Amino acid sequence: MKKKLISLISTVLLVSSGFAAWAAGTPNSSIIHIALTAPITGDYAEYGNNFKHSVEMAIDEINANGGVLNKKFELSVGDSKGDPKESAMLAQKWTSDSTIVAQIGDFTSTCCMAAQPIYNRAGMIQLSPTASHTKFASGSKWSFSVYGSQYWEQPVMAALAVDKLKFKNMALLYINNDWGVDTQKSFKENFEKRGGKIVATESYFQGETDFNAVLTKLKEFKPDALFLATMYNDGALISKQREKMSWNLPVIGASALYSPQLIQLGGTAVNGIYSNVSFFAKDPDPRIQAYVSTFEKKFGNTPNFAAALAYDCVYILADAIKRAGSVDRNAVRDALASSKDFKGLAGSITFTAERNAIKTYKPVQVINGEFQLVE
Amino acid sequence: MILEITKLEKKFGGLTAVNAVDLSVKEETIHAVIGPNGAGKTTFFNNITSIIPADSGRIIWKGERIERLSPQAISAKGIARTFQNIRLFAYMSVLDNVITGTHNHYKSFVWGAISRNARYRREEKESRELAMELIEKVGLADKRHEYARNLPYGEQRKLEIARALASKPKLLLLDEPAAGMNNAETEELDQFIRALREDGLTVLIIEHDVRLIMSIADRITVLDYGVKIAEGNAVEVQNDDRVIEAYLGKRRA
Amino acid sequence: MFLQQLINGIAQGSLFALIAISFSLVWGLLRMVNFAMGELYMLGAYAGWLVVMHVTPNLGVALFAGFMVGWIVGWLIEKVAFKAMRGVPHIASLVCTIGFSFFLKETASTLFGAETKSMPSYYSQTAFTIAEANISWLQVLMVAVAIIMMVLLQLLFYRTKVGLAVRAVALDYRTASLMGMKVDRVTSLAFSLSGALVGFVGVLAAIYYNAVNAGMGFVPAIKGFTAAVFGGITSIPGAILGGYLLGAIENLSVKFMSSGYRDFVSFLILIIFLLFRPNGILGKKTKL
Ligand SMILES: Nc1ncnc2c1ncn2[C@@H]1O[C@H](COP(=O)(O)OP(=O)(O)OP(=O)(O)O)[C@@H](O)[C@H]1O
Ligand SMILES: [Mg+2]
Repeated sequence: MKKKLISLISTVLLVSSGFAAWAAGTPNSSIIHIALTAPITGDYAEYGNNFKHSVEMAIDEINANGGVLNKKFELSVGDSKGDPKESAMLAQKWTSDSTIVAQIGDFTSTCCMAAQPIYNRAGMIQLSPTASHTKFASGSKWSFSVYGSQYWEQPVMAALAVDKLKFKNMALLYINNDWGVDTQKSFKENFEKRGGKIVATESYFQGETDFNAVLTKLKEFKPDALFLATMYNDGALISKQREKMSWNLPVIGASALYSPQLIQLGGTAVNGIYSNVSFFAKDPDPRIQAYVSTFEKKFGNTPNFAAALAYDCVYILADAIKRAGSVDRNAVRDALASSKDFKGLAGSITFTAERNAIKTYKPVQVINGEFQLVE
Repeated sequence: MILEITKLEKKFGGLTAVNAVDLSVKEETIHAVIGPNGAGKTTFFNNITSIIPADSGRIIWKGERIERLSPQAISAKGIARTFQNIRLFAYMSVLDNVITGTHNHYKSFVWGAISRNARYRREEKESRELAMELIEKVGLADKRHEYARNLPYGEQRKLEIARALASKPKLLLLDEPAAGMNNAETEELDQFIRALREDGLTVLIIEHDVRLIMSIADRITVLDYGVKIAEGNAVEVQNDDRVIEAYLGKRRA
Repeated sequence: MFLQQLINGIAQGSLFALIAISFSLVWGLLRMVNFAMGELYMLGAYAGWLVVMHVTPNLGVALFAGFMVGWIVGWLIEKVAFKAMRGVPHIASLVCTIGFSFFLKETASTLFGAETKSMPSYYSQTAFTIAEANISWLQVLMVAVAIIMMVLLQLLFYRTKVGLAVRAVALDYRTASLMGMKVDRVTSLAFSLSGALVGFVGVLAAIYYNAVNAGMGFVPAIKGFTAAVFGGITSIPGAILGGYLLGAIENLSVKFMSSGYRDFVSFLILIIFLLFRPNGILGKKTKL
């Protein structure tokens, strides 16, 4: 009963605020109003705040440089708390405000997908920095994700393995779930295309802690190197057990290995492991350094990949508006969809027909207990 | 009188298994309880040992009422029993089975086992020695490491008696101890029970083997349909009309 | 590499065997399965981790801490899920242990965070090498500790009055109570002991795999239970045999087929085996 009452009241408030906004007037010609949906509080607050800080920073920069089409950006921020219901409510709010051109957010795929039908019906861009579910962007012509997919990672890793590291025979170890199977397959295809040979493939199920048997078996095939399609925690465990077996060989893996936790858990055993990232805070690229240092100065923490992706969202949106030459929602959507080789902080972005980003990735390696870019 | 029972009654639904039974047992005697199948003998034993408490009536043991006590408390008072349907620990050695009978006498438990203090070691030794002594007495010394379930029926009965004796009882209740024994074993049992009486024990025994009963019982109580129908020495009971009727009459006809 | 897999299997089998003993103990006393066994293992691992990280790097103290935490939480589970539920249908106790399983897991991940914690390595150097197979000191230590634990248990059960009482209660609690044994106390004691044992194993596993997290107990608990059933759940020697056999089969099966199937293979063997010997390897021959 209480719940019903609350949702009734909030609907009334939403609708009336929508009217208020509508009454407040037709688009002000000198601003570009955009909305951000992010988990500012709750379990994902760290990411939500990274979103918010980055988006505010990007907007300030653009406005300081004269804006786009002689208009300044204006931002409205909504806290979804990581709750799909909240995310959908915010979608109602944004779509009922005719001044809003586009929405950036939300953080989780679940939240994005809960809000998706609302943006779709209203015809408003829903640009998510981090929604990784492949079915998200393809679900509506108004939905975009700049996150990319592991599918675009593996060409980079295969090139690294064959061209730079000169591996010929490799062994694969993957976690037996959708993600692990796809990642492993994608690496194998790319590696074989370049003339490499996979000599052994093994898998394990979620929750396994004993990798001695699998490693012992893989070792028998005497591969040049090992590819891991695993999360960082399993990756650390595997590396420790491999070290104990005194089996020393180069290891490369998916971007899921890229986490400070890998080094914390794996210690010396993970030294030398290769992974890849789309955004790397210590990248010497001056644009990235400028971003990271400003961010650190303003907010006191190093921006993570979610922050960089949110930052890219603002700029790719600004770019689309410029190319569309107007703030008409349809024109901006079409321009956004045709973005090509957009140079973001977290890799360049080209959208597929299903509005998922094809991205570029940079190989990294653990050297002396720290990730470093591979030249 | 070491045990005095008055108006003991136990009903199972509509069936009165023990019906207002009075019974007095004199110290250091062998007192038999006999009666046709289903007469209520075992139920009577269960009432005394509180395994199935009586509905009403009084049980006085050495001047103290015990009918509301728990089975453990009654065992601690010095009343031990054997079972008509043998209840040994089947997958436990003969020796260990008897040692379980000594459980009540010893105080130290967890802490003792951890610290292995002097008292604990003494108690373990004593209970082991007592158990060995009893096993020898019933002639199972050679089989002390066998599982109880691997013994022949007659020997299992002996083992149950040894276990009951391990609690150093004053009163021993035996429920059909000769069942499953051959003639030689029954003869041994006869001697054994007499020896217990010489050692100062009081024995209450249920038995169908008439020869054994007539030979050892100092006094006999006869139950039929839960009711005490006769009491006396062997000769008196054998010549009682109601007893003859109960045994030879309607049911055996 | 056959030898190496066998060695891996024996090391892992030591863990399975000790967990299996715990399941056998609880089954023997209560004809019940404690579904929170994996979480007792996990809590033991956290206790060991806390000791090593914050108190002392002494492994003995860490193992003792795991043992004690397992004991205390085991005791609590017995009080709530079994003692308080006496007379209620058995299923209520089972569900209650499932509840404990979730509760303890959630508590641990709230208390310590969801991320995996790293446990330092101990004795990871190679002890000796036989025909290309490496045996680490830790593996030697694990097997040794497991065997010492089993010998101690055997002494406890067969050489002490407490052990006799546990066996008596397990075989026939009614008769045991007639012998003056306090069935409740004996049950509680043995249940706590089973918890302590898995808590202890949790620490061993944390060291062996260098990792501690809230979900770590699930798979080992299932394996331990399987090992117990495999060996004959009513028997401790059976549980031990089952543990080592399961460890060996799992690791050796990897040699012949993809490791993704190794759980499947061991369960398949188990099911086929149980079709012919429903009481496990040792089955009804021995009890506790
Ligand atoms: N637990 C019980 N529940 C219901 N009825 C019972 C129970 N125990 C005994 N009875 C009934 O009570 C009556 C007396 O049984 P009891 O076992 O005492 O006889 P008994 O004299 O020992 O016979 P037997 O010589 O065959 O051993 C029988 O009719 C029996 O079916
Ligand atoms: Mg009877």
